[in-house]
Amino acid sequence: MRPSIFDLVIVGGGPAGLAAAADAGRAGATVAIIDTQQEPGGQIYRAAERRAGQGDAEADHGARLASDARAADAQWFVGQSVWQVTPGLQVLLGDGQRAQRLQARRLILATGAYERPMPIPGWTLPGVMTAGAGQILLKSARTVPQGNVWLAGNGPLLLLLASQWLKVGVKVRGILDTTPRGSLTRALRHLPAALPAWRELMRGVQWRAALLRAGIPWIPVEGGLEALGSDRIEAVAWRAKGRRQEAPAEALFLHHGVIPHVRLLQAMGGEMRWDRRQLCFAPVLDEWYSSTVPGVAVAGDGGGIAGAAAAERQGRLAALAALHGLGRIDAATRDARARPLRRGLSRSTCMRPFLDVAFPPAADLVVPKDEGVKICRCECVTVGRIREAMTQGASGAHELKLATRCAMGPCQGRQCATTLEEMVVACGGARQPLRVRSPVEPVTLGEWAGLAGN
Amino acid sequence: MFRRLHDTGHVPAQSYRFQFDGRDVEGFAGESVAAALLRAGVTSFRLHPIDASPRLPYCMMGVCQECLVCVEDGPARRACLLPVAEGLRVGPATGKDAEP
Repeated sequence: MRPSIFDLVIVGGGPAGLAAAADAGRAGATVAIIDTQQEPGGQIYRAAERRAGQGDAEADHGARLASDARAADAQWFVGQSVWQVTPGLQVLLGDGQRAQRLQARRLILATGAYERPMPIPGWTLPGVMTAGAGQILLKSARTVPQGNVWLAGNGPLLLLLASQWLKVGVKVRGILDTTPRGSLTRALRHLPAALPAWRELMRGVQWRAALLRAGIPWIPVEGGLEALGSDRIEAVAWRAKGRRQEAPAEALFLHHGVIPHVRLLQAMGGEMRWDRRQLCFAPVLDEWYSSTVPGVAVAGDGGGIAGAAAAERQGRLAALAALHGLGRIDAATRDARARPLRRGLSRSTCMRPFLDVAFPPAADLVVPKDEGVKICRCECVTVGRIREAMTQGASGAHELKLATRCAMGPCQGRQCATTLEEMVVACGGARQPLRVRSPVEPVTLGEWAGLAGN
Repeated sequence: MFRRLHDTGHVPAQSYRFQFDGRDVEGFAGESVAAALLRAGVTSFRLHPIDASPRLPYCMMGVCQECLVCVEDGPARRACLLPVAEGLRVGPATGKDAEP
């Protein structure tokens, strides 16, 4: 049985994917949209359709994006993970039990971002999670932590989560701010460019003010962030004002930025570049969000962190390029429709340089000093083990992976590759992303075998 | 450690009863098995195959692979991507089966 053919296959049902699906579908292209979650919305618009109509503007917007995509006859593949895309743009996906193949004429990867790993001592303890996890629990399961809850790290998401929790009666015991000293001063030169987004900046100020009014301690941390406990987190420790401090904790939520999640592109050989302001690898893209892999575009945070509003516009721009590439619209139409999108895009990204420079990750949270920290959660590989392998002659991230099994576990380096790459650079090695190969999502032999006859 | 907020919509979410490691767990329509288990106070979804350390979800979005569970004695699956359903039998992912 030959695989179904789609003009456009979109991987990822967040703002970029939904906007691209709606626009391409409306223009008459056959569109498939694939997401690992059961509901559209990506991370920011989690459960938006369920949460809509209750006074939450963000959820209402997400629900609108989803209904536009549905109305445009996009074919949905929910609860499915794409583990491979062939050079001929055949998309292999499965739900853990059954796999299928789709043939794409064009592909848009709208796979978003995930949290920058924050390896601290004790980060694998039960009860230590990411701020994103806190938001997902709140939005998709109406679930909030209780007891001594702490937040640690930096960035607007931390602030947002704390204020979202405050609104529903959850008061964190404190926010441990790991922003390196002088970051805000360094960011000030980007403030003039950010001023058109003054409403968003003001929102941040308002969240901060609300937390202050609620008496939630905001603690600048110099280092030494640790989760303590035996079978689960029992306390959080940090160093401030030169002294080590400790407090009881039942839950600790970490966040110090997000990084692009484009493993499918990397597995296809798409070129990546190091973004010096965002301190992460991002795909090399042209002005239409096309990658170096023919027929494959990346829209949204997967192409570089820019936020939900930008993601939507990028999705629409990538859809225009796909429609043109498919011969459905001519270049003049494409360019005319692109113009207002590009204007909107520069408005939605004008705040980015300021945010990136104001909230960088702290150096000792990118490469931990403590030799005992497990940088690879899946294979339990410590900083000390990596250093030992380096002295034994392993050089470069790939050799270190082979020598220590770091990045060979179930998450395939998502939680440790950035740390490994930074350790290589810190020892004078070249900065290179760890090689990514398909399958990029878990797939069973049964699923794979089931494809063989088709 | 985790509690559920009251529903604000007109229609309360449908509740489901499923099992984790033989004990009854309540879940609600639309949420993941991982969320329901966290609320139920499960102390670990699995013991790590290398050092037997207890693990609970970290990212809740399918990236970290800490939330691996076995469904109906099948292979390990990410609980954060699994919707709750009536009568589901879920257990800890253990030993070599913890690698999907």
